[in-house]
Amino acid sequence: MSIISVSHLAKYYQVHQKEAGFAGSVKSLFNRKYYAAKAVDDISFNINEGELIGFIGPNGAGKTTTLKCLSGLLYPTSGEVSVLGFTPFERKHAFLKQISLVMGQKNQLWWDLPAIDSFLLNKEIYEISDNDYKKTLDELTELLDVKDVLQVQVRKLSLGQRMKCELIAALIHKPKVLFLDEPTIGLDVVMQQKLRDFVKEYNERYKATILLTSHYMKDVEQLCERVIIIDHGKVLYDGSLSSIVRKYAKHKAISVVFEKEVSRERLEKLGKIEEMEGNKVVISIPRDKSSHVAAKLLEDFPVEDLNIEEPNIEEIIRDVFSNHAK
Amino acid sequence: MIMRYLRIFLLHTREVFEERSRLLVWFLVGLISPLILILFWRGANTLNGWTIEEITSYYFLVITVRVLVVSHHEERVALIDIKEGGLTAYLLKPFSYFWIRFFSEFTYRLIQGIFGFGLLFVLVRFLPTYFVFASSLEKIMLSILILVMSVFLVFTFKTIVGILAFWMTEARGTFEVVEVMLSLFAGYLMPLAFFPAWVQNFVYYTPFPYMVYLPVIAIEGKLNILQLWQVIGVQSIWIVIFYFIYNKLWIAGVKKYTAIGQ
Repeated sequence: MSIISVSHLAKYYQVHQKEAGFAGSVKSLFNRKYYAAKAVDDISFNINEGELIGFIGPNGAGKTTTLKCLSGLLYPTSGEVSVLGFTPFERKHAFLKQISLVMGQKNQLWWDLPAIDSFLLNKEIYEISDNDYKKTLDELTELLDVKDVLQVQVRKLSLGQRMKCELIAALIHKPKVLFLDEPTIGLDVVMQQKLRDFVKEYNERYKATILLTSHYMKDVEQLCERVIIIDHGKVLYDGSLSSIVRKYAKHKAISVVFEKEVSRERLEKLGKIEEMEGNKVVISIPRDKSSHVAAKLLEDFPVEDLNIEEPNIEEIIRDVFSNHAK
Repeated sequence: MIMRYLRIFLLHTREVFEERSRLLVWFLVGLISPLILILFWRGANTLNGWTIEEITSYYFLVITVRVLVVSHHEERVALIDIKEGGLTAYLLKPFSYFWIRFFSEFTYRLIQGIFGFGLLFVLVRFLPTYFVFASSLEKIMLSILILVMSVFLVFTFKTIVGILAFWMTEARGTFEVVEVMLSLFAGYLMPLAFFPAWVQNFVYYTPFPYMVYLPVIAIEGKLNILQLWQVIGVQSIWIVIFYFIYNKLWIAGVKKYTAIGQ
C-alpha cells in the first residue's frame, strides 16, 4: 500500500531580482522585479509502507523543497501530495503526530537546557503516555548510545552527540514516516556509520517509511534499495540502485595483468583501451559482451590476473547528472 | 584611494535603501519628541486637573504596567521565525504556534511584572504621599482583570505585527511605527488627558489606550465602576477582532512561508 503519493508536484519561489550597483538599488526602491524559480517542477512518485528511499541530487536540485512539501511546511504551487492519507499542508495534528522531519544542521533542542528537557517538552506536545515515553526513550538512547549525555546542557555536547539527541527528539513520538535531510552532514566517518546503522535499525524495528537525502553516496548505497534521482526540479530516475547501474553504466571495465607485454592492436579489437601501462591494461567493454571478452582474453592471451569491475556508483550518478545537463 | 571609500559608502547606502519603510520612519521619529513636549507644556500650566501625586503614580505605573503587559515578541516572530526560518520547527509540531509564543513570552512578562510591582511596592512603602491608588476592593479586582485582558490584547496585536513579515521584506520599519503609535496613544509619554480634545476623541477608537493608558488610570482609581466595565468590554471586542485578523493572516501567511535558511 502506498503511504506517500506525489502527483505532478510543483513548487515555484518568487525571487526578488535586483541589478547590481547603486543605480540598481535606487531602481528597486520604486520598481521591484520578481521571477519564479522552479525548485520542483512536475514530479510524481509513490512510496510504500516500510520503504527506505534515497533521494539524491546535486545542490539546488529540489530535494529539500520536496521534503518540505511532503512534511507540510511548504504549500505546493500545484499538484497533489498525500502522506498517510493526509494532505500535508493542512498540518492536522493527527498527521503531525505520525511524521518527523530531521534537517542535518538545524536543531529543535533547547540550547541552554539538557537534552532530556527537550524530550520532556516533546512528550507533552505529542501527548505521549508515561509508559510509551519511557520505553521509546530507553530504546533510542540505547540504540544511539547516549545515556550519559542526556543531562548535559545541549550547548556543551559534541556535534555527533547533538545530532543523536536531535534524532531522539524527532523520534520520541515514534513517527511512521520519517524525512531525513542530510542526517550525516558534518559528522566524522565513524559517527556517519553509527547513524546509518541506526537508521537501518529504526526502519526495520518500527517498520517506518523513511525518505533520506544525502550527498554521501555511502549513505544511499548502504541503506536504500530504491533511489529517486532529481535534478533541476525533475525526476531523472526512480528505481532500484542495482538497475541504475544496468541502465546507465553501459560498460564494464576489465583490468588485466599479462605475463608479458602484448600488442596494443590485438587488444583494441576487443574493446576500448582506457589505460595501458607495461603489462597492465584496462579495457572498457559493453556490458553484454563482458563475459565473452573475458573468456577470449583468457583463451588467447597469457593472462596472469583478470578482474571484471562495475563502475563506481558515484561516477554513474555524476554521468546521469552531466548527461541531463547537456 | 577615494574610490574605495566611495564604493564602501555606496554599498552601505544600498543596504539602507533596501529598507524603504525605515527611511520614512526615521524621518518621522525625529518630529515626534518636540511635538510631545509642546503638548505637555501646554497642559502643564494646569496639570489638566491632575494632582502631582496622580502624575507621579502615573509614570511609575506606566513603567510597571508596560513590563507586565507589553510583549516584545514581534521581532522574534518576524526576524528569527519567519525570515530566518525558525518557524519550521514549530510548524511541524502538533501544537499551535500562537500559544507556544504566548507561553514563551508570558514567562518574561510575569517575571518582569513581579520585579516591577515589587519595586513599586517598596517605593510606595517608603514614599506613600507620592502615590494614589484605587481604594475599593471592587475597583482593584476589576483593574486586575483589565491588566489580564491587556496582556492578551497586546500579545495578539504584536503577533499580528510580527506575522506581517510574511509579506514584507523589511519588517523593522513597521516595528518602529508601532512603537511610535504606542508611545503616543498608549500613554507611554504622557496621559492622554493632556492631548487636545479632537485627538482624544479619535484615539479612543483605536486599541492603543486599552493597552497601557486605561489599565494605568484604572489602578490609580481614576475610573468609576461603570467605566471599568466599559474598558473590559472594549478590550474584549478588540481581542476578538485581533484574533480573527491574526487567524486570517496566519492561514494566508503560512502559505507564503518559504522556510528560507532552513
